This record gives sequence, structure tokens and C-alpha cells, in this order.
Amino acid sequence: MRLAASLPFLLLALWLGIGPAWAESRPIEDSAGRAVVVPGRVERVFAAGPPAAIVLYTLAPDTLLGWTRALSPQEELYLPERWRGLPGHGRLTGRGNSANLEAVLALKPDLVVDLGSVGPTYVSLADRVQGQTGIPTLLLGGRLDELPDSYRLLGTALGKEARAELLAGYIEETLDLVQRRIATVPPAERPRFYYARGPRGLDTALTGSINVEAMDFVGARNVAGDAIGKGGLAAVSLEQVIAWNPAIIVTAEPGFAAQVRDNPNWRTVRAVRDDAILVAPQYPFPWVDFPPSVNRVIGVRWLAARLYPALFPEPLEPIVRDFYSLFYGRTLTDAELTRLLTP
Amino acid sequence: MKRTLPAALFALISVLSGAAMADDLTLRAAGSLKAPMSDIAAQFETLSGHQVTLDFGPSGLLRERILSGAPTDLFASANMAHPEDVAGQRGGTVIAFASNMLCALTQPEIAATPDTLLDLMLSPRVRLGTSTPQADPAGDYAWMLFDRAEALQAGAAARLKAKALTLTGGADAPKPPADRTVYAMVMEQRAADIFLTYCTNAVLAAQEAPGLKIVPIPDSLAVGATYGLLVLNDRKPAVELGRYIAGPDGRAVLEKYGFGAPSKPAER
Repeated sequence: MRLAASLPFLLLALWLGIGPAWAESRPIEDSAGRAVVVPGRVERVFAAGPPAAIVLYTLAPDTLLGWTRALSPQEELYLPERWRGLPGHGRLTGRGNSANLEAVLALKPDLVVDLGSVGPTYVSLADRVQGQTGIPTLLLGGRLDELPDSYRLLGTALGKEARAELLAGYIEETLDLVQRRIATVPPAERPRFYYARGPRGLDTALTGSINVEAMDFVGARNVAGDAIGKGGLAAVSLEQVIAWNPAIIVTAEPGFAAQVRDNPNWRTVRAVRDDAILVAPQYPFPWVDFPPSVNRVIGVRWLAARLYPALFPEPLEPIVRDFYSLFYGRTLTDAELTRLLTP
Repeated sequence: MKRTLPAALFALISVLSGAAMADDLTLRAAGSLKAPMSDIAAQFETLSGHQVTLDFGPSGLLRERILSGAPTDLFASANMAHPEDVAGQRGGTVIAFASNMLCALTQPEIAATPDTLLDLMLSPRVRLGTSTPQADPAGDYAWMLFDRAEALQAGAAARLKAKALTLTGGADAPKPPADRTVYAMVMEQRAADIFLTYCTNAVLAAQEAPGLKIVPIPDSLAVGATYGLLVLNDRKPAVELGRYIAGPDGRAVLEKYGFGAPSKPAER
């Protein structure tokens, strides 16, 4: 009765523009310092690239219009059923940008979100998308240490402040714990690793590259970076790897890891002899390298535990469970957890 | 005069036959059933024309009252044991007609589902509230739920008991203002991210504080009380009321207030 009586007044208030605060557009300053006018109610969000899609999924899956490419059944297995089957709508940023602005407009998003580098290239891309579509476009920082604030910014834009704070707090706590414990290890005693990319393992990423941010974060010494310098991706020869003789090999390629142990050439490398090959878990999103999004936060914790077992004695399984339930809304069975951790 | 005579006669016959047919029934029911049983009795009165006198109180007290001779047609208890006691002395069969299971009342940002609930309760980032064991059966049920979790994840029971914040039911628990439920209050104060309480309490709290979410407990963890109904005499109206309570109409009302189907596992 009370509701029925107050309804006309509510409608009148809305008509007069005395609506609740959420109904009003407001400017938000994004990670690049751009002022973006975000509608009061955001229900449909277009993710410009894979990193943005993952963050959006973890914060507000009901707003995500799709992935940049549809997930494979194996990837979807590690998401709750409810969120399987989201379409792939192409990407606006990065390699092989496959969505054009008409495709964006057709999906009628309230907001476009890009997450990653906030350098000039991406600022101008965001400005162009916004200018040509008229849809507000937020650019958020995607580095590990930028993720907490990016969550908070996006939480404000979507009206999901409390969940954003929950996830941002988790990330901060995890990264802080890892840094504090590793700070006690003198640089000379930190593990020397080689990051093997590609099926033959002879592509790598140099220190400072976004691809090895998780490894850099845990203070591991990149043998290719030490020899070649800082930068992006590099192709190397097996002779170089043999000469660098890393103690650890990190890879996101289970196929490479499977064959390298039986390869006589690789067997001269210390990491292979010692069976110190760390294969990053893959699902639903790989724990290192790509896409460079929040999926790497659990990767950082995993690398810390594997590279510094004495400093991180806690069993990893409950930590992984916790991350998957908090961020992905997915409870792992014991069997799934084992399969995930031993790719 | 000629016209009024048949009318008066008809009225007289109606009253007489009504008196012969209408019955006065006494239903004694657990305090937690007050809201649904009041609705159910009112519906039954309208449909049948019988009068239902309601008496609510703690189930144990009602059992004493009935056994000491208070006239009773039906007894609806918050457990099975009390009505079974009465049936042992007076005859009749107790039927399980509803259950009051534990539910999880959660802050919206937790985004819990029945599947993820246990992992989230275990999460170091999530504060878990319960009622106080021993002081309040709902607290005892929460501890039973923790024990059931042990079968799903080794070590879970100890971790849950260690982290649980006993926020209600104890002697020093906060007292809500008269128009508030304590569950909505502690959640609005953000004293917990997940609070385990009876589904009926969770329903009231979520009405009071929109935004709070109710997450059903998965079957593998479900605990709660089974409510038993005993019809104490063979008169047709009493049997009819019993059928009405346990039937689809009664069930619908009970569900509205958060009661579950009767056959759930792990009764205490």
C-alpha cells in the first residue's frame, strides 16, 4: 500500500529531474587523466581488448557484451556455467584488431573500456573510438601495480564500488605480501630463469616486457634480459640458451615442456637436467604472459611459491581456490585443481 | 408478513445448520511460524467457514501445555521430537511439513553462488558471521554446517570455526530497534560479508535491507530444522486443516516466508 501511494510521487520526482544520483551522468578521470563522461547507469560494456574483458568479467560479468574472441570449451570449463557461451565480438586494440567501429555501435554499448598501456598510442585510440562512436571510452592502466586503482575506477563507473574494493584489496594484499617476502632475498641469490615461448621454446621476452611482468614482479633474473638488454620479444638460438644455462625455465606452452625433457640438445641446460621447468596453468586465462590482465595476479603468487618455496611455505591449493571463487565465481573440484596446476 | 416469514425461516435454518457445520479449531504452533500460520489460518477460515484459534509459543512449552490437558486440535512444532512425544501419549502420526534451513545472507559484492559459497566462506578476505552456538540453535546449525564442510575440504571445519564471528544470539549481542531485524542490522553495519542464518530470517532481512542477497546452501552442506505437524483429533475439520497446512496452499505460504520443503537432510 505504501509503495502504491508513493509511486506517483516517485514518477513525478523523476519527471522533474529530481532523480536518484545514479541516474545522472558524471565525469570520471581515467588512468590516462582523460575526463570521460560516464552515463549514470551502465549496463552494456564493450571490452576493447582481452585484458579489459577479463577485468570486466571479474567485476561485473552481467555488463560484459562479449569476449574479444569466443572462449574455447576448455577455457569455458573453468568459468561457471552461467557465464559460458558469451560471443566473441572482436577487438579494437592490439595485434590484429578485428572489430570496426560499426560493430561496436551495433552492440549499443553504454561504455567502451580498454585496459593496458596508457601511453599516447592508446590515448589517441581511445579518443578516436569515443570521437567516432560518441560512446564514452575509458582507458585503464593494466600493469600489475595499476590494477587495484583500475578496478576502483571501473567500479565507480559501473556503480560496483564495493565489489571493486574487494577485488582491489585482494590484489594489493597479494602483491604486497610477495614483494615484502622477496625483498629479503639479495639480488644475487634470486633465481635465474629463461622464459620459453612458442612451440620450440626459442622465442622469449626480455626484462621489462609486458609478457614477463609477472616474472619481473617476483624479482627473478631474466637470463635473456641480462644478455640482450631490456625490451620486448626476441628470437634466440638454442646455443644462447645453453650458454646462459638458466636454473629455471618458465613457459606457458605445455607442448614445449613435454618434448624438451627428451630432447638431447635441451638436456644440457641446467633447468632441464634438474627438471626445473615451470609450466604456467592455462585456464580459463593463462597465469603468465597473455592476456596481461588480472589472471597474472594468481600467476605472481604461483611463481613466488615455486621460485621461493622456503619463503612461501603455504600450500598453494587453498590460495588458488580462493582466487577462482572470488574473481571468476568458480569453485574448483580437487580433480580440476590438480589438472590446472599440472598442465 | 407473508414475505418475511420464509426469509426469517431461511435465516433461522442457515444459522442452525451453520452452527452445526462450523467448527472451532485450536492450532498451537511454534513462534517462528507466526507469520505464515496466521496467513494460512485466515485463508482456511475463509474457505471452510471454520474458526481457527491460534496459540504461538516456544515448541517445548506448547508440548507441556498440550500434555497437561490444554484443548488442542493441531500442533505445529519447530522440530519433530516434540510432536512425536505428544503422539506417543495421545496417538496420531507426525508429518514433516516444512523445514527451516540455514541460508547465507551476503553482501552484494561477494557475488556468491551455491557452488562458490564454501570457498568464499573460507576466503581470508571474507568475514563470516553466525549466531552463537549453544545460546541459539541457529548458531548450532552453523557449526553443524562447518562439520559437514570437512567432508568436502579437509581442514575446512577448523578454519571456519576459527574465523566465524558470532554476531547474534549471544548474551551481549546487539539489540535491534523494535522495527528492525538484527540480521539486516549487522549486515548494514558491514559486520560480516556472509552471514549464516535461517532462511526465514534471511528473507526478512533482505526485505528490510534491499541489496543483501540470499544464497541457498548447497545440499552437500545443508542443515536445518524439520517442522512436524500433529493432528490431535479425528474430526473432519481438524484433518482438513492439517491437509491444508501440509498441502500446496500451505506450502506456498510457508515458502513465501522462507520455509523449505520438509525432506531436507541433517536434522539435529
